[in-house]
Amino acid sequence: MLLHKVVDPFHSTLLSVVSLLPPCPTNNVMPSPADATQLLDRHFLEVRARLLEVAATLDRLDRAEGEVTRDARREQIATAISILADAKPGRAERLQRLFSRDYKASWRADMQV
Amino acid sequence: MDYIDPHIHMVSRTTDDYATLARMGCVAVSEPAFWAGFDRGTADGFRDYFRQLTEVEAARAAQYGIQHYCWLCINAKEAENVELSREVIAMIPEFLDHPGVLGIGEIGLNKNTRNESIVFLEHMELAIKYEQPILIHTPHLEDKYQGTRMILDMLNGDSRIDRSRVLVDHVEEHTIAAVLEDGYWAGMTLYPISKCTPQRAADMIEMFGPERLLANSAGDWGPSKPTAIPDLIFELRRRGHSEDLIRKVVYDNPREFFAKSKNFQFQQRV
Repeated sequence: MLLHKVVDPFHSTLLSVVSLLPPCPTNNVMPSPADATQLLDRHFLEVRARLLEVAATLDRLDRAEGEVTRDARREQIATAISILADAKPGRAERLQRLFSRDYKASWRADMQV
Repeated sequence: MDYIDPHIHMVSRTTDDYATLARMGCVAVSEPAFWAGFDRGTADGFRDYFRQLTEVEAARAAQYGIQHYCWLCINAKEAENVELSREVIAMIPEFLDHPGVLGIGEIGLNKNTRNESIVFLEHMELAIKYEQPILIHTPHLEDKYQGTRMILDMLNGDSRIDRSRVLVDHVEEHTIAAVLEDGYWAGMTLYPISKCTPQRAADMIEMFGPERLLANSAGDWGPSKPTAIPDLIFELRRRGHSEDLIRKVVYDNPREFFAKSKNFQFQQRV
């Protein structure tokens, strides 16, 4: 399903915008004392449950009357899923930026403040 | 562990919540002035609210051994009404010498409008004139990134601002770096749905370290959990972090930041 979205022009634009964001810092000044295996053990079922919630919600949208494939929010969700699936760090920050309004450095002049 | 909740709206919580906070180790709270869930019509409405913050809540908290401090302003949502905002700002100095008043807050932006920005700048002027620390609300959801950057522009654009006396609250993954790098204190708000979970707050502590970083529940009349800080303490312990690190974030840092106000006369538990 996601492959269809990647060739969608609007979705491609979203992906381009996200890819233009400044690189996320890979800060880790105080690593968790727990190692990666311990963290995966602790969080696996919780992540599994959250992914299932997302999958079931998308299925619910598919079954419902009406059409949201062109809705900007649906496109944001598709882009967010592609961010989760890539291997680059800073996924949480990139998701936050995806769901954010743009900032213009000239806002004070534009608003005359 | 003793802890301080640096941002919680106790006017909208029950007395049972005070008892629960005390049992969980909360020894002090600070309560910024905020939106009541409806727009108030007059400056006198705010005068009554400020009396509630400075007198009523302090007495209610004291019954449970909790020290209550507060911050005064007209919040970002009602700041859209510039005329009313100016009346409220003119009245605030009446309260600044009250023993529990730590400074001006929570000022900020809501929908990042021109009027909100004008009132933010006028609050900044008030804080500078009366040498008050500032506590800042950053917007919600899609408005947060833009609004936080606008707020930093306004603060950074005024050389009279002492950055060590300003707390920028409700930071998340996309705003925390800019706030800390610019030299301000940063607050993480632990909410059940929006803002930040205890797990993500623990992640940010690991990524940025504990310096100038606070955590709060922002418990209010909406979906929120006044005992969210004990949840963060639990999460950090579960990951194996030291008691010293945890205490720094939930106790030492709030004390250090609040000490920027002459009205912070903290009584340590003995």
